[in-house]
Amino acid sequence: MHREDPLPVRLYSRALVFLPRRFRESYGAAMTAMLADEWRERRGPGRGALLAGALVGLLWTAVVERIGGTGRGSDRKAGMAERIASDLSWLDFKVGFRMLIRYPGLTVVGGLTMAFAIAAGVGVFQLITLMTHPTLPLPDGERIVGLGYWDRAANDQAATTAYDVIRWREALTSVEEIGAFRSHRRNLGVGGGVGAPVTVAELNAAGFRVAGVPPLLGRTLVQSDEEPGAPPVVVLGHSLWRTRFGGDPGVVGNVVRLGEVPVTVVGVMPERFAFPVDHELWTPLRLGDMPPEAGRGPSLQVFGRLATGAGISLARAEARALAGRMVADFPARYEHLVLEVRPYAESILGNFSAGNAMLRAGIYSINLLPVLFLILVCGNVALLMFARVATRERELVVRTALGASRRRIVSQLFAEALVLGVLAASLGLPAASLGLHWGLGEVYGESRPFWVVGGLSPATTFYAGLLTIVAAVVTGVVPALKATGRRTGPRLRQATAGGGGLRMGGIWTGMIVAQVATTVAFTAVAYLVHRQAVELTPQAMGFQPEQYLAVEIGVESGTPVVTAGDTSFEALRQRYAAMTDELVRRLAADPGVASVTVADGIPLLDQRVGVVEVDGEADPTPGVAEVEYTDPSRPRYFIMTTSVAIDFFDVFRAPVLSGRALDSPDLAQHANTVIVNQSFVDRLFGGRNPVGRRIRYGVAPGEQPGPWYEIVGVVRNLVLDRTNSLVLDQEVRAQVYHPLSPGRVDYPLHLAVRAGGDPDALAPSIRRIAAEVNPALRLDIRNLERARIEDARFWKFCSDVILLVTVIALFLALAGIYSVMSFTVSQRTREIGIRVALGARASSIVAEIFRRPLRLVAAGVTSGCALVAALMVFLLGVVGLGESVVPAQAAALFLAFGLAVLVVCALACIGPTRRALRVQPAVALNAEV
Amino acid sequence: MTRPRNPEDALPLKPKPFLLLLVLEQDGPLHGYAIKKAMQERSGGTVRMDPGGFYRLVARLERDGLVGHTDAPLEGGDERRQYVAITDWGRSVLRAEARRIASLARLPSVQALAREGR
Repeated sequence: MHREDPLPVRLYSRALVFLPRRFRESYGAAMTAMLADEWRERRGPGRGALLAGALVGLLWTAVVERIGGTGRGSDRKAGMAERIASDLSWLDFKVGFRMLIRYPGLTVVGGLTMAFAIAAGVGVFQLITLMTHPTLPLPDGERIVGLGYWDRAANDQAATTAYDVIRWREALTSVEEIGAFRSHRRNLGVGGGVGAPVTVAELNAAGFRVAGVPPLLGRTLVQSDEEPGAPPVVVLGHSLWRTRFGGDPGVVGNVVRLGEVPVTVVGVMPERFAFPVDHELWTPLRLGDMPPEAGRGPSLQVFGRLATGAGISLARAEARALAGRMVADFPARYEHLVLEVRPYAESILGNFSAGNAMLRAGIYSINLLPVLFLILVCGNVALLMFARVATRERELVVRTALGASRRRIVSQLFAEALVLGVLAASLGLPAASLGLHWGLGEVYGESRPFWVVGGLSPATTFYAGLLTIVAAVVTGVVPALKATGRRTGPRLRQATAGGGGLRMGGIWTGMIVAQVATTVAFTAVAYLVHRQAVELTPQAMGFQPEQYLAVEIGVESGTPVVTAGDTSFEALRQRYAAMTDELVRRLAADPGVASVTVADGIPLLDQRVGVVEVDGEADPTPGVAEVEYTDPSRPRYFIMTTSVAIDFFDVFRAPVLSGRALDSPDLAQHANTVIVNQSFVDRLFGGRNPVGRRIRYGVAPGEQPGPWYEIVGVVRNLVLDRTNSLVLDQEVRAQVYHPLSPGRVDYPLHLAVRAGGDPDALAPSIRRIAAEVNPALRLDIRNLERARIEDARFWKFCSDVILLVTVIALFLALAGIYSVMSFTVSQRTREIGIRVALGARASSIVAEIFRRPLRLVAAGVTSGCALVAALMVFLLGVVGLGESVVPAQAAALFLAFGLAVLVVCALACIGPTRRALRVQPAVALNAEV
Repeated sequence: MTRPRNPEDALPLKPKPFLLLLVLEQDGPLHGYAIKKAMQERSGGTVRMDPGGFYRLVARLERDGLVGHTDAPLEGGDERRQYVAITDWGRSVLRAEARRIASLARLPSVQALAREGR
């Protein structure tokens, strides 16, 4: 492989592995060279079409050459490829289409399940590609690199400062433009309106040149904007321009406020431009204003564009040489630092390559899971296909007798399966694309890096083609080989005499048992996950989230509140506390606000963790309370801790269950009183009343213990820990509430505002009031109901997916049982007819017909229950999730489910059995002739 | 592989092999992409081939002895390129095919049909 080849050509050369070895050795390199030559001459979207065409052609060549082979030295098989090509004629595909229509049940069941499996495979592949080989949607994006230091001593990234940027710009010739940026959240105020926070990139003009995207309106930032004393300017992102300026084409020249500074809009960037990462607005980065000494000044993120003709390896070599010179100049600062040059996205998101071959291999191997799933699913569909083949047995046997080769018949059945596979892929691909759009939006929210986009790359589409072929091989070729594997003569006699020569062998039987077992086991998992999804109902939360807004109170940096007067920490804290008090006071007076309180953590949002010990004996619930067993004589417990205003529980309407509520005397400096939640009582005190007992922090070995705090009351549980939902155990954590006294103010504080009406309608007036208190206040407002939904969404998604898989598994299991029944009964038509003629009772015949499928289903349900039992034992014993699983309830559920599966399977047997019993003895006897 | 003694026995050639041989006969040994471009020019852009399809065709012609490989001219460039040249047998088959086409094209009925088609 050539290092200079662009990534798609390298990808193509990797895909050569699908060709037979001889052909690849003879022509592989020349094929790559041919594509590379053409790639260099093409520009724009033509390249995508070129790559897609080349990959499809490669795939087809692989198929044709593998079946036949024209490669050098393959004279033995000379001409086979052409014969196969004519074997797989258009007629086969036409027959395939007809089969889709003639067997609609198989088409729908098989097509949908294959589509689901292909969508899963494609989605996972595209996600992995996004992680490991992200492509920047910028002109020549693959030539953009990130530069930064790696500190070998600290094994961490080290800060890059203005000095480094200037030095690199002068010294590196292989990187032609060097851009630098840092991110902020700032308030953007438009007209007389109130400011709202936006994500700002302070970016130098070179940064825009590296991106290489022209503005939609006006201009980007230029060199003169960075000069000292230049008027302050901003460039707007497309979405800001649309939402905050109504898409006004005359926006350039307008003055807006960023923080408290009036700035002039000079340009608007086009849609989806969020370079360097997820930015909405750009201001000039003034390197000249930063300290020029090495290692001083703010930390910057740096990137550049490789010069024409330079590869990343050249840039790395140059960076190594430069780093050596910098060590010589400033040994203390640069001794441990390595200057790294990496592909841009990797430099921002993290490292999947440098010395991380294992991690990379691990990530790639995730692809195997959906492939295995696909094979499993296709194995099921193969069973249905086999039943279909069995019904056409006579046709196949006669054709074989007339001289059709086995290969001819296998390739026809392959073509039929391929038609079904293509149909499935044409459903699965758009589904995967939609799923990715949705899933990435869910995962990243608004802070999504601009290159992480949904949609499928050409490589993924190619991969979908491979999956389709795998699916067609499993569903078409395997049953075909099985059906054509036996000698023609005896089968001809049997088939033409009215009975079938094919038998349902052990593999198919095993598959049905496995299907039923999987269905039962999946249902158990679905049940567990579903419990997680429904757990966070308002009842479980202890309050009505749809009434509340959570407001994080930030302060704009660089404003007089922070920079003027006494800037000691204590003074800043007092000023912050005063502003917060004033804001609370004014909000409380607002008619739209029912009540407002302040705390350093809000239910559902971020919380702090603490470790406490209890004065005297505790009675922790084994395996549930988070006990650290480092020193058995002094047990310690993880708890969540929050400081709240004394009216916090009134605002959240959480009643005091025992003891008393917080009151003004608790605010005194040495009052040292706390309130705990019910979960704290259950976990640490075994449900006994803890009022009057004491706890303290600072109990790590070698640490000076803090003061004792007396528990004065117990309140109802409020869900206060979002991270908690990532474990299966959705219990409310033990929680300690401290009174928020002026001496304990932490930054940032949060307000919980209970609205009288619609909370969202209240947000603008909260912003207005904050701006009146002090324009430096920056508020992040969240609706708690939406926070709850987001929280539950992950589990709901998992639960929905697993439910879907369960339904599909059940569907397939039933279809499989039905086809086996139909098949068996039709094979035994003569026998049944004769027995009826000889006077056998219908009941004994029915019993015999039912015996086999019932045995299969019973075996499946039993193995499924065994799987579930193993899972339960694991969850109870190893993971310690005792409280998530209610054994009696779960056991009843599975018993009911097992019975339901049995009943449905019995229903599947009714049709074929009735058909068999209606067979006229004369017909059966005639067939014997 | 036994070859027919008479070039006429290898006829007719399909359009792509014919064009490929024609290009090699007129332009001399070339590498893959150069051949493809020349074929596209001569066919007025109607020939489309991906690298896989192209080398499948080359492999078949090679097996039939119509083309062979040759060393790259001394111009440097990508060493992975394969230079393909027409063989003597390929030349005689090409000539025979050209004669066949020309004689067909001279038939008054063919010319009349071609005029109707315009």
